[in-house]
Amino acid sequence: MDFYRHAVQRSSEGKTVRVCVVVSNGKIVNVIFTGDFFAEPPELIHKLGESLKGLSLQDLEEAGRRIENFFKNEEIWLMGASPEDFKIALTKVVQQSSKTD
Amino acid sequence: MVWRLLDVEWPDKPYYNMAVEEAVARAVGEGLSPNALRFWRNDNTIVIGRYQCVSLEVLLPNCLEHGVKVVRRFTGGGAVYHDLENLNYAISFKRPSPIPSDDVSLGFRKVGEAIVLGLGMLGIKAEFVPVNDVQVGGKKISGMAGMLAKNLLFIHGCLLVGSNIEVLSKVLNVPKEKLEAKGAKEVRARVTTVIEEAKRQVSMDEIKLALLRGFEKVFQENFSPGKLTEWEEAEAERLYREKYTTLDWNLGPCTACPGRDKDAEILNLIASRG
Repeated sequence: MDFYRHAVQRSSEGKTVRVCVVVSNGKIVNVIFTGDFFAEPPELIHKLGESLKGLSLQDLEEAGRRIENFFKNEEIWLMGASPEDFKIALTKVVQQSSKTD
Repeated sequence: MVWRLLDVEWPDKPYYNMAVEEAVARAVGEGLSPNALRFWRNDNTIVIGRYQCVSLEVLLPNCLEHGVKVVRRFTGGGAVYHDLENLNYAISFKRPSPIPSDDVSLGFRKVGEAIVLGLGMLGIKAEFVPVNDVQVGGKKISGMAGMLAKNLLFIHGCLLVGSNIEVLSKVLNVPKEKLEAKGAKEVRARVTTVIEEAKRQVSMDEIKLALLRGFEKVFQENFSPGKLTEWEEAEAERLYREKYTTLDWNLGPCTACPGRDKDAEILNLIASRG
């Protein structure tokens, strides 16, 4: 079964990180991070979402590890939000899913 | 090289205005043009941030109803509403720039200082509020966005002069988390305008001159009035055609949103009217 979830995380610097997730048969098939943060180069934000595809929605530990590693390994300039905000946004989606499923 | 002052705008062509914005920035970054400060306006347009989801941030059916155009810019930050009572400023620096370490947050601060100084000359006591706002009495009067590229530090922002805040609150979908954190329940409760604060009519020319003086003072530079170069015009034409008028660009990155197809239709309708 496919479903779509969306969550918002507000960073300590006052910016928002939104995440939209499409899940099919318990697996993440599409993840898009959007928001009013600043980042360069732009394509890496898309790549971050790509790196989470195929994961089980409940596997937050692995998702968190991938997000951390992504920001550690890529030469990305990020302002207004932190890698932690991206992790929290995803966590909120999972919490939302457990409440409604 | 003397810094350039560009007072060039196409208020009815927001897609072209944005193409010019990027073309000038690129020219400065490539070393083809000197550092530049630009003043310009759009009419009745939402300008959405580089990373924002248009479906979640903008009330597109309301844009259609109110004839509001929607264009995505090349910098991050949040969505803003532009009309003729809203003055945009943009400054492009070739790196290394006069901003210490070419740090964008310091860039926001320095440009914010210039805006605060300019507003002070109009009798308005404003302050820079990190990350990227200028406020008067806790209400936002100007917001900035920026980017850092290999050879370029770029900051731009908009100053609410007498903007139609009623339309703004109808077309922007500000997240409730943001409003709650800012201690205001509606968009109109957390923004103010130059005219409201100055308590008199202030002409655009007077505002531009005041802001220019602010930039001159903060950056200790003189600006010489200029126009777009042939390279910038050609680049703007290309960006207009290949980027800013395309559905792909304006619809943006959020392929996960369920309403994407419908929003694409609305964006096409909006674009066809302008």
